[in-house]
Amino acid sequence: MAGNRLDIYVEGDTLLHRLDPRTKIIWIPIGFALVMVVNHPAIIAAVLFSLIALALNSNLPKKSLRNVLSASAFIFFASVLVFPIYLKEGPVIFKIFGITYTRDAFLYGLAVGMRLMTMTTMSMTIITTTTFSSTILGMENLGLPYRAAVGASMMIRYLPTLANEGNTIVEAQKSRGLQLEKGNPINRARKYVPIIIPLFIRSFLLAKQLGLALDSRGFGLHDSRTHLKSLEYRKLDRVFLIVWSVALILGIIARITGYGVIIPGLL
Amino acid sequence: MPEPLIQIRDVNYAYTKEEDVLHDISMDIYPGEFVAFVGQNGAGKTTCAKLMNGILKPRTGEVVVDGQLTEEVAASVIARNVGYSYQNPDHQIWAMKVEDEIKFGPNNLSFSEAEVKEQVEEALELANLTDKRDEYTFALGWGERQKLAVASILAMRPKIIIVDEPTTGLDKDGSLRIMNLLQRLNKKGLTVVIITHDIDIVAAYANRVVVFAGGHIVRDDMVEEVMVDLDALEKADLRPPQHIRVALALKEYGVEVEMSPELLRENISNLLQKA
Repeated sequence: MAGNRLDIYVEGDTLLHRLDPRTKIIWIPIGFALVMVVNHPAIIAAVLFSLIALALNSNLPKKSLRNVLSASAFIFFASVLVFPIYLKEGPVIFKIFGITYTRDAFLYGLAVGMRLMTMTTMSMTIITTTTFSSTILGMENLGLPYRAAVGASMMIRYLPTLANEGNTIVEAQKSRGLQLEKGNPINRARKYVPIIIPLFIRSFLLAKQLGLALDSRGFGLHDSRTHLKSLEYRKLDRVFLIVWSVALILGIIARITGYGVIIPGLL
Repeated sequence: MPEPLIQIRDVNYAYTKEEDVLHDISMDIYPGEFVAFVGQNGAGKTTCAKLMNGILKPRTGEVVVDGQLTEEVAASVIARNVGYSYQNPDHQIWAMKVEDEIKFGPNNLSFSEAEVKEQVEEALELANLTDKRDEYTFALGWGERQKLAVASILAMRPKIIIVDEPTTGLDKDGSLRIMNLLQRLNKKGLTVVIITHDIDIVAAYANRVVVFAGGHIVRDDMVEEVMVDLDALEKADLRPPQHIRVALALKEYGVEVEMSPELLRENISNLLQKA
């Protein structure tokens, strides 16, 4: 159907497009570790904004970026609101409905929320700047068996397809009078059951059909295979990974020295 | 002339900023009609149907359903008047048992318990699913899941039902069963809109045909008129049923063959039943 994107990859010749897929795969644990090791909102905000800048530079459609950020916005606001209910460190900012909101708890909630936004933005940026075939090649070069690399890449490749399926199911159930927007949070969550069940069933059917289609074309006949393209690790990749590794080391130092921590003892 | 159930006025619609997929669409759907939307994939049939049930809102122009602008109300509210059965029944079936699946729509529309019971019974009966009420939905065959999807819409008692590709994935027998069900409903007064590529089905069941091509309506007329409009059908990459092609070919040789609406319908029905 028109309007439904079935491919996430965005064509371009930007910094992230030029990076070796292995660099981008290694970048994920480094980036995630960086935002996990510190819990100071200023540091996580700096990482998040540099990622947004990278995403914008890599031709990622503004709408996609907005969707990613707004999808994680709910958890962002939830963490900002919920953490202060349980954490009482730092000076009191205000009291509402008998709940005391402290400065440190608020900042910690802010940090956790931005952490999630950073992770989703980073994943989205990598997916949109790496082709399906180079993702497989990158994973295989990093030692993952070919079949597992295809499986993992396929999972990413089919995300938009599943998102389209999800949209159609939402439309179908709304056409049957389902009002997802109404009710308290528990009722609203319950209303998603008629969406999730058909989506699961469609996903299983899709996976089964895909498996059969791959089998019928001889997939898995040989454990290894040759590739038309070969990967080249360049200076740009080395510099990119060094910069992020240094950032991670600085993050660890900030954690140890206490500069990167708003509430000690918490992740 | 009765008031139209659905009025579409100068509607343009675009999924992306780049290009409209519907251009200046206008039409009225009247109570009791059996309308078929035909055209190639991507011609705009489904988009137009989704504008009619408020799932999509027009970029420009207006869609009025039973006196209400679709832009002003949620699709779940329009569902009271316009039922939409999706092409793939698996996009809507979620309950474990047939009866629970049919209950879902009326329950959403806050009908009373007694009304829900009555409407479910009626829908089960209309769709010939009464003896399957306690069966597992996903254990049903494709044709029966298709009927279940239609039944679950009927239980909401809409004034109009839109069925997207009712015969896709069904053999001739299954296609006839679902089409005969829609015909029975239409004869009981329900307005029916089908979206299909099957021109034989259109000729046998629809009263009115709307031909879509490239996001435009290229012909909107009674079935007997559209079936002999080769230009309009060609624009939609369609061909008239075989016996009409024979009749038109004979006409070129000076042999007049009667093509009255009644005869057209009778011929196609006979051919389909025999097939």
